[in-house]
Amino acid sequence: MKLLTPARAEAFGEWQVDLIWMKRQPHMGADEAEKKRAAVGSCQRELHSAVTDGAAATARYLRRVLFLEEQTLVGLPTLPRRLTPGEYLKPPLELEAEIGDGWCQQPNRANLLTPRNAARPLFWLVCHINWLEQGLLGDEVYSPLMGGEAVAGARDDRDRLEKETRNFLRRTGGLPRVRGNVSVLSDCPISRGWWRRRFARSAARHAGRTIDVDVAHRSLHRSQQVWEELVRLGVWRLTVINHDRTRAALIAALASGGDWRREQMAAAAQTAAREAIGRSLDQVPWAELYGLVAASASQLRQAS
Amino acid sequence: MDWKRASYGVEIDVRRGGAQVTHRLRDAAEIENLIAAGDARFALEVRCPVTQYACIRLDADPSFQVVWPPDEVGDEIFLLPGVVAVEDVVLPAAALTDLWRDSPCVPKGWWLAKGDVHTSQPLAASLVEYRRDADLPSGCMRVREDGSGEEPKFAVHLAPDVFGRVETDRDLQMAGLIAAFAILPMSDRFREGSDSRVAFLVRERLADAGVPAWDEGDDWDPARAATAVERLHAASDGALEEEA
Repeated sequence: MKLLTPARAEAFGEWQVDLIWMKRQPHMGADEAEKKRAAVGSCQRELHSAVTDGAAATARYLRRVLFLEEQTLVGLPTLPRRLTPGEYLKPPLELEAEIGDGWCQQPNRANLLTPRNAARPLFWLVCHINWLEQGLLGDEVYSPLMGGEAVAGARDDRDRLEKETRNFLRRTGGLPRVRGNVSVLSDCPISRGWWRRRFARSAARHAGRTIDVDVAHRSLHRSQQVWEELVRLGVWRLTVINHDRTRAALIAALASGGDWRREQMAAAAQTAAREAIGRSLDQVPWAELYGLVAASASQLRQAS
Repeated sequence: MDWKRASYGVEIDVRRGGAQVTHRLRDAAEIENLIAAGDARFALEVRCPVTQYACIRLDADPSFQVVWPPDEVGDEIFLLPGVVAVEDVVLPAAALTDLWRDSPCVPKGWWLAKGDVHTSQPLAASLVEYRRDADLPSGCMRVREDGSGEEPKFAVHLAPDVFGRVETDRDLQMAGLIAAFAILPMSDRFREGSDSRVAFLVRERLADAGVPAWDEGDDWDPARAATAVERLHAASDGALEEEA
């Protein structure tokens, strides 16, 4: 039986809508808004209760909302071992490499793990069900899936529940309704690690042997802001940077350029995109392509 | 590029998993000479932002197929056609607008011509949208026109027990498409003179297949028309085969 069906995708979308309070409700009167807010709060409390009950309860809850009660989950990637909350929230470089490379080597066992599926929050949420049932996130799952500094600083119970819910949705696959298509690449820690390792492998292949996969990966892992800028631009604004050679040039420049800030990744990507207006970057010699993007990031650093 | 007379156009016929591309050059002897000499190529870029995928296909032939790996792309893909220099080339000033006094040398990769961006959605996917309808009895379907968007579309409502199969059940997909074609003639968005791009593409596809359009005579055949847009068995014709 298929896992990622249209019906399940629709159920997933509706579930996220029911769980999130969007502050702007221009077509709703005050009474209606309060009623809706109360309904959202009720759904949030149900999720919160499942998560605080532990991994098994969370998995049961997710199976129910996704209409997966009786289904055996096959073809999904598994984690190499039980993760601590810290490892889950910020997977170390070695863990991301272990996950990314290990899953590459399991094509028969993890055959649902394709870029197409990995760009879908629903896919990662279903993976989480598997990991919860296998005990790979521990039994106490509130800290990794819901907790954090933002929650501690909540104004009141209602605000705390909202923050906890958003944390859960982002971390277990992404919150496209609020963060768009970039959320799955940026907010879900395991997905983020897989995509980073994938980009690193691609960069090593297309960078004219000037960079190896571990160096590329380390450069992407160093700063969450820089990673987020790279994927944000690739999803929304400068899709030309998704060409393997162009992205490799950006990553190679990042690796050799020291500690980039978000603005430097943006400058380098914009330089590539401007050049691509007149030229197909696929034909530009590697040294020239690399030089272009590296120079723009360097100039920004010097200017600042 | 600032060509004095040359013009460039492209036709892109999107099918399941790929596209058939036909580039057209007119009054463009200079570009054609570059292509014949191996210094330029017809090009099609394929980009899928959701999966951060991008590639480019180059060919000396103006008409070629492009196939994209289904596991690496999402549902919406952007196609960017053009003609690109694959060597450093000198362009004759006489062929360019008066802005160019000398013959410029353009580097490898230079876009000699660029077409409009196309999207990958097959025509059938633009026409129908499948929706789960809890009010329908088990095993039932109904079709209504959805006039809410800029382009005409038909909503195929499916009972919950059936909806789950629609992504993989081609017979079900075709049943919905045929039902949409059955009510198409009643739509204002498909009347003659409509500025709808979808209506235009449907008309073109039917004309290519030799199938009378909905307003040409009394023999409107929704099944024949639907299967001119999407064959019953995609593998035999509608889908593009992976090139060896």
